[in-house]
Amino acid sequence: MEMSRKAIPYTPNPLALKDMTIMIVSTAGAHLKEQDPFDTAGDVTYRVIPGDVKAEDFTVTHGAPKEHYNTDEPKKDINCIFPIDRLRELAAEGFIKGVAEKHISMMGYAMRLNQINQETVPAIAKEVTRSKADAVLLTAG
Amino acid sequence: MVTVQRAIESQGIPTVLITLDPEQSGLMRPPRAIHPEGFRFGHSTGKPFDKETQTAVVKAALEQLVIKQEPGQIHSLQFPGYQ
Repeated sequence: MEMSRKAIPYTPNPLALKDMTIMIVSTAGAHLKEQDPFDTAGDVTYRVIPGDVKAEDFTVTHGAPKEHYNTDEPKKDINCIFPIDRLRELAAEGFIKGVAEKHISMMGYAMRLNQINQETVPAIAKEVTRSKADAVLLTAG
Repeated sequence: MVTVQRAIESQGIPTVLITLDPEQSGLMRPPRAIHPEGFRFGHSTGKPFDKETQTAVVKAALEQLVIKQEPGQIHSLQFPGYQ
């Protein structure tokens, strides 16, 4: 999946928002309290977040210096970086059609870039294409 | 993050990124992106429990999906509710 930076992959979207199911993919280090935390020294793994998760089931593990990214804030309200409740409300009011049955989370600032680019990123792209999501909202912390 | 975005997009799924680091993200040329101006890291959509700003940011990001545009731009937007 090597691509030139000049060529920007761009998929035209024919759907209206009210007909779209949206998935979240985030590198802000969100995960469920019951899932293994990310390795703050560098982590190439990702977590699959079930669609029916509650906001209070989340915590955040991230290796960035605290003065750069203070994870205390999203730990209070995960919607700061992983806006699951906001998407549900938008679905309930008909702004979008629905929220995906699963979401994906990883930790940025991960150091082992070759392995991430060659293994993690293609695996995430495959998870997304296998899902019924019409589009993906990405957050980075 | 833009690497992940580009990989998903190249599989035929439209994406939109909320970035708080437009310089870094810009180097990687994201397909679609917004930058909420002045937001601190950890506040991609706003502060904890600021439902109004969070909703406004998420809506603004999603609206990029239905705007015809040149890929590679990062739209800087202001959300006055965020101090």
